Amino acid sequence: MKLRPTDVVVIDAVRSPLGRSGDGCFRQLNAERLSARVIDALLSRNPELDPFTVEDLIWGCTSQVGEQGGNMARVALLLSSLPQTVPAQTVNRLAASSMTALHLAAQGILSGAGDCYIVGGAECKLRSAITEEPDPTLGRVTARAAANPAAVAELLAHTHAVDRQLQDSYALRSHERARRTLQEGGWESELVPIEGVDAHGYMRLIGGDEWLQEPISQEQLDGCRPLLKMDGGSVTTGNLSAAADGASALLLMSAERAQLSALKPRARIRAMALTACDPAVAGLGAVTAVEKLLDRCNLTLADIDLIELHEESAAQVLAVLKELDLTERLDDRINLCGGAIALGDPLGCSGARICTTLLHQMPRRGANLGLAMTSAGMGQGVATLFERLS
Amino acid sequence: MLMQGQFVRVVSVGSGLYELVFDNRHDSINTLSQSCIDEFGDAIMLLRDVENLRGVMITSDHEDFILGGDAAEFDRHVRIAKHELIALLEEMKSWLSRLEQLPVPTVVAIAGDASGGGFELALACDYRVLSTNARVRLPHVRRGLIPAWGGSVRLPRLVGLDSAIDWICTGRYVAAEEALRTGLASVVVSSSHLREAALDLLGRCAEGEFDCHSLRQRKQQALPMSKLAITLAVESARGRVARIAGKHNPAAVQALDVLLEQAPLAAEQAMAVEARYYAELASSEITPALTALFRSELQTKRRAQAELKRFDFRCVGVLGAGVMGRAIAAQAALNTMRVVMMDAKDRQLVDALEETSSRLSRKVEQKKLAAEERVRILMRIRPTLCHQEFAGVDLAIEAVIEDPGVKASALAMIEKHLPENAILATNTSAIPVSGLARGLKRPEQFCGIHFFNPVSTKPLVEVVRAAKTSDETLGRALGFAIAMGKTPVVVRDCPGFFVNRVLHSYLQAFLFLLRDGVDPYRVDRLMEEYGWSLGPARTLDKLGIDTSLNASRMLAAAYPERLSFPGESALDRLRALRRLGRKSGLGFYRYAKGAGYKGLPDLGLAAELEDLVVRQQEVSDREIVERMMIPLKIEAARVLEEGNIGSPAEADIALVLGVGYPAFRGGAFYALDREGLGRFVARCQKYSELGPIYLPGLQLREWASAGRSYREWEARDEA
Repeated sequence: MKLRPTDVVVIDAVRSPLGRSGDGCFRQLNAERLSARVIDALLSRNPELDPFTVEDLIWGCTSQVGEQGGNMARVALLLSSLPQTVPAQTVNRLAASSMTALHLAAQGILSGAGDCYIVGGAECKLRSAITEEPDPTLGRVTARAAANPAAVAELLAHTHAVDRQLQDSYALRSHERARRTLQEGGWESELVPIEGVDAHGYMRLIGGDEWLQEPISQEQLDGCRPLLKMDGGSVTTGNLSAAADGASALLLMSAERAQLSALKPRARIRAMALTACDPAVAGLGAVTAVEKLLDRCNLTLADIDLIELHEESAAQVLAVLKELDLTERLDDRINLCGGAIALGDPLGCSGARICTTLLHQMPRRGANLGLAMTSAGMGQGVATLFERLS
Repeated sequence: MLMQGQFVRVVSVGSGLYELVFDNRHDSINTLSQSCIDEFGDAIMLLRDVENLRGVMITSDHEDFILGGDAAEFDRHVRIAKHELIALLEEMKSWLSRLEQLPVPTVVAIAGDASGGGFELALACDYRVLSTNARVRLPHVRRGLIPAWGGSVRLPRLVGLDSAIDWICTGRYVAAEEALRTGLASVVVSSSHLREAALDLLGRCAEGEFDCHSLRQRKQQALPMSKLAITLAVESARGRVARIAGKHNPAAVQALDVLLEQAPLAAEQAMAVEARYYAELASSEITPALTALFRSELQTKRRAQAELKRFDFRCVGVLGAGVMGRAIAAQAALNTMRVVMMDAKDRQLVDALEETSSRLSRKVEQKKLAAEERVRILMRIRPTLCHQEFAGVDLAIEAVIEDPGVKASALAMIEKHLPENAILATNTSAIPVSGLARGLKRPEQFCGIHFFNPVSTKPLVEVVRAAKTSDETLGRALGFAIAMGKTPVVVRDCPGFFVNRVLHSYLQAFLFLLRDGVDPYRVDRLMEEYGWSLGPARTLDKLGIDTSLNASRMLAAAYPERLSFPGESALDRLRALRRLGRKSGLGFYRYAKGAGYKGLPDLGLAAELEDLVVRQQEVSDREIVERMMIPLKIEAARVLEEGNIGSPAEADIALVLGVGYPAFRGGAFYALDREGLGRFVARCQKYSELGPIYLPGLQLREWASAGRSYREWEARDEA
């Protein structure tokens, strides 16, 4: 395959380990400092990059209150070794924020506005929890519970006939696959070790995801009580993704610029899509996004070799797979390293996190086409199709 | 003047604008009685025929807007057949539709409370202008019902499904600020601007500056949200609603079903759904009990409300900054009174202010209070070490330790410094008030005001009339209790007053059950199933074993024939073991961290109480409930017979609000009437050998054999 000069390529992708929100290993850090650390790692892994030529830092973050409030991307940039002359903006599309950051950069490259961007996102979820409720009159047009992943998951469990047992076995699969990847060393190439603390507060170099330290058993999942006490409630903390702290960063360039800089691209972006749907079934946003994306590049799901689907909850994942008729193909190409149910969900970082994992897994599993997709709260969906180059 | 009725008048306010005023000439409050509804209908018909009509404003001439349907109306609703009821509801509903469909804009101005039907009426208008002191609510679920006049249809279409679920299923008050935030109120202004602001808005609407057409359309249509979103909103609330409502009152959960069913329908069909559910609920078993109770509460409050006008509370003095004193001071400050809080110990005052401050801060964090309001409330409390400061108070309340000597000297000391016309009160739960009055120079200006712990949440206050207390003083004390946001009942000075006396006869029955070898946890389980929020053992743990023991000893001395316990009771034993209840972490239950307010059963308890069992008896579940409930009813009837409480209605309110009697059972006297006094007295016979607490008083026996009922009391009262 021949690269065109204006093709958008990904040079590299990295992420921090994910820590438990609130009392986890990064409790002394915040989103800005975590972001600066992964940006610095990206720069030092790619010394050929002249940091003065970065057009913009585009960064996802969802809880834009407190210390994450005042354009945290710019703060992260100033804390990093990027020069002060590089601009920075923060974007928010809830769980799809950092994938949106990636799309914005890609659009910049495609339009010729720039040829080198750093994108990504970060979140320290409980440090600056969303305290502001949306306008109460929202209830005139939709349910406020559309912003509550557990309630949405419960509705999807009902509409898509996904019972507790199915949800728990999917959750267990997520944990087992993530642990297996850890044991095989499959996470190493994407991870940036970061100084954190252990349970006692002693300083530690955190090299792996905190939630993966202990295996999860079926008994533990069985012991979880439903979060919402509805009749036959099935969504528990066990089959819902947990809050996590983390950051992830990708370096994007035009193919021409990559060649000039002597940087070897990992993949090119084949297609992107963005859709919205009924907020009540927010978790299904990814479905329409994927359909739109495939339509745009004349492909079908059968052409895709590897899929990363952001895991909001087991019920949501299984409902999306049912909608896309992918349930049968779960074990040969979808979330083969587990997902946010096992690792945790650092909202603003999650879109970039699944792209990063996908880009590192594609060569490992010999995949040519890889699809990353995520639903976002209040009914949106974003999808990106990557084609492997190396 | 277009119309002048007994309840409603309609006047022209210039250039085609008319004002419809609710002004009940017979009472201090507006309610939607049948006569009022008739006049309201006449007014709407008149307005329809006015030539060149350009706008209608609805106001009230009373302190509150409209306090809902008339209590007597509800009594009627629960008695008539379903199809008759649906037809009856149709009448007011058609007036509201006609109001809504007037060809001109409508604006309602609300000051004070708009409750139930009054709020439903406001929902039929185009714009709602609220004063800052306004509150609205749909309290129907608290009476086992749902809104009947289109409230469950119009509300979600105006403020959205989530808020409507919250307001309808809890029946709580919604303050002006929240009404504005949710879009229910178009404007909120201070009460002095209310009428003017409403009129200004109406004028502008009439000029076409604001478009009321789209507002009306929204109310006529299905909710503009997907079926899935409706399901999500309703089902995600179901667990929470069921938990708050408890298992005995189905109305809140039914309200959810009503909303689920009618939200996707146009208004007309939606109204039919509401009526169908309403009629169903009105014929349920618990609704008559709850409506009777509501009626009693309204009567009790109305009596006291009339007194409120007689006394303008500017400044209240509180002596003693202990648990009760500081809470009373905080409650007064919260209700905009200035407070002088005196204590002999500086440390105590500092603690009191710190506690009040942190409680208010928590409210600010929970967004129940504005931050600047917190400071304003704190500023109203002036701590002091000297009596002289009492020279400027309108009412002084003493809350020092429960010791007759200490209280008497404290009262005498305050009285010296009080202004001539100020009233003096004691907050005692046990000491005879008339005795405390002996050392005072103005005993006619003295009474008891018994707040319950915790003051902020317990809704009841016993106002104790001592031998020499004047009517004037009593009235002002009632007004004070109302101003504190409480429901007062008047009791005469007898040991234990009403609440503690009746409660202890109930707890006495519990101790007798333990003596017969019944497991306390079993009794708790049964009584909680019966409807008490806490069973007797948990109640004792909450009150404190030592506090309960002191109270029971005091009552035993006063009523030795009934309320004394022969030998060592479980209370004596727990006290000796220093198991003092929730405060010490161990009583009947174990209160470990994470065990919750109900505690965990303690496996060691049975062994500790084993040797107190006099005879091991087989007692059935049914017998346990009967043995618990009979003494309470008998003692309540005795207090009434002695004239120590004013009426069965007040007694039932005090039982529900003060003792914790299950509301859906309507209260002791309601239950006695329902069962029939004759049958009740016969049932008592079965237990007569258990002791004199199972022996009904003379009046109860006489009334039973004469076939009378306590309903007659009310009739006698009104005659």
